[in-house]
Formats: sequence, C-alpha cells, structure tokens
Amino acid sequence: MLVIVPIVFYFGGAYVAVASLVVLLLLLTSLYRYSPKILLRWYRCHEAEPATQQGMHDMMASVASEFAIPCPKIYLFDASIPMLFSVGTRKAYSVVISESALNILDEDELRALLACEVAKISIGSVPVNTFVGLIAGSIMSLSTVAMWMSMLAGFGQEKDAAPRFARFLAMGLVSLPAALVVHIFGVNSTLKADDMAASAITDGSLLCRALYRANNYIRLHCTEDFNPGHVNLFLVNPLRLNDIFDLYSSMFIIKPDIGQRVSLIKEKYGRDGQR
Amino acid sequence: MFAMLMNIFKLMKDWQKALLFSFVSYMVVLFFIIVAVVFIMKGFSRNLPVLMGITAGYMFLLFSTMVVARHLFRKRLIEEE
Repeated sequence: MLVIVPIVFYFGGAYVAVASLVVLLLLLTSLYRYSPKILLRWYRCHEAEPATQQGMHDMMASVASEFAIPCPKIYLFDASIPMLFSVGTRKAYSVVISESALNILDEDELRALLACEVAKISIGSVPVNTFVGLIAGSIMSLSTVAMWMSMLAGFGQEKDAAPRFARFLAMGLVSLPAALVVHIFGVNSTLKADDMAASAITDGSLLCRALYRANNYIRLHCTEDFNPGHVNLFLVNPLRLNDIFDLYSSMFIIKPDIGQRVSLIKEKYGRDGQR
Repeated sequence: MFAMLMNIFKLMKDWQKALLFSFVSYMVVLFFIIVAVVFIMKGFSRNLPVLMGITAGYMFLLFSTMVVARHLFRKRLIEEE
C-alpha cells in the first residue's frame, strides 16, 4: 500500500503525498485495531454464553492462569471439523472454537488444544498473525470475486469450467502476494506453543492424541474450503491438495507436519508424554 | 517432447507448480496491458520501444518477486505427504 505514496508524489506533489501517507497510516492502524473483530465476523462467530458453556469458561480460566495471562474470551463458530484459532490485539484476545470440536474432542483433549492457543497468546504471536491473516485472507478473497464476476457475466455456474478457470487465473495473481505477506510477516510459533502447552498440561500425550485426532478428522471429513490466507492462524492445517484447483494452497502450508510436532513432544516429554 | 515436459512437471513440487501457474497468470496480465497500450497509442510497430520498456520493467519486477518467493518457499514450506 505504501507503494502508492511515491506515485501520488509524482502526480500530485509533496502536500498530496504527505496527506496520502497520513491517510494510509490511519487506515493501517484502524485495520490493525479492528482486525480481530473483522475476522470474528468473517467466520460468523458468536460468544460462548457462560450460562450454557460454564465448563468451557472454567477450563479456559484455569489454562489462562497456568500461563499467567488475562482470561481470553471464548467464541464459537460453525464448522464440520474440530478447529481452534486465536485472534486479538492489545491484550484483548479471543479464542475461537468450532462447535464440532466440542462434540468430537473429549474434555482432556480440548484442554490440551486450548493450552496450545493460550500459549500462542502468551508468546505474543497472535496480534501480528491476526493482522497478517486479515490482509492475506482479503487478498485471497479477490479470486472468489473473480469467479462471481464471471458467473454474473453469464459464463456458467459455480461448478462449470469457465468460472473455475477465471478463479484459477485470479488465484494465480493473488496467491503470490498473499503467500509473500504470510511468509514475510507471519510469525510461526507452532512448535514453541506445542512445547509450552505440553509443559503446562503436564501430560504431553494428551496433546499428541488431540492433535492426531483433530488432524485425522480434518483429513477425512473436512467439507469447507478454508481461506489459505488464514492458515497461519489455525492450530492444525485445514488445507487439502485434492486437485489442480487446490494447487495454490501449497504456497501457504507453513505449519510443521503433525507427525513432526508429535515426535518433538514425545522426544522432550518421553513416550508416555510425562516429563 | 510432450512426454519429457510431463515428466518434468510430475517431478516438480506442488509449490513449484503453483509458482509456474502464477507466472502464467501474470503473463496473461502482461498480454492485456500490451493490448491496452497498443489501442491507446494507436499502433504497435511505431510504439515498440515503449512496449519493450513496459515489458522489460514488468518482467524484471515479476522475476525479482518470483526469486524472492522461491527463496522463501524453499526455506519455509512443508511438503504434504
């Protein structure tokens, strides 16, 4: 975005360039500030009511106290797979849990995965990743816009060849800048968060079990197309490479493989997960 | 020839294929830029230096970005089994 300033300077002079710089900085600051809210709305999240989810709130409070951070808010969103992610800036954080995670994972597994998310908050990688997720996700959404434009122009329906080709071409254009944003600015704290979570819950095998279970469920039952720009936010990589249209997702797989994550936890905490 | 190209394509990693298709997409954009410039300036051969300049600048930026991306992806991307 800052590339615009020299162009404005060339056409409009110094005053206009300074004004555009100020406007850009204001825009970036407000985007940074409101990025958690935008992402929560993006996934149609709703806050978990203490009346119905008291157990979850107690669990979160106990995990947050282990890491000595203020208790994050809990949000729920509708997805077919067990998925967790955290968003937030300026010490106001939210942990987002898919409703299927509540049904699929048992209490110990959920606690282990919550510890992972709270560890990320404690490390301090969440604010940057929230902002990066918003920017990269927004860039990636332009490919969907291209597909809709081709559909509205009369080239066919969603599954027809022409709109899919338009989307493929548009994804080729937007994937590269979005992936570069994720790679250059995103903070990958997965392994450190795993280590801290395993240490906090005292039984690393629970975390290994939870990660395996979530990953297997995603591989077998995932029906949603997650935005590749948001992959750095998620606990487990939800992207699949089934056909040539998923090829661009491969630019965003920066999370370590589940096998590697589990073996590192077992290496450090023993085969039974105990220290 | 085609079989050899297919073999090379199969040997490529997923992110390398993605970068290749991305390059092709950007080439399509360059084609439309050239078409637009030719229409605006009303002529191809007499505006050849301008078109070559645009192409050279565009290709330089694209190749620089591709090199940076390849360097970053080789270091940080994880191949799915």
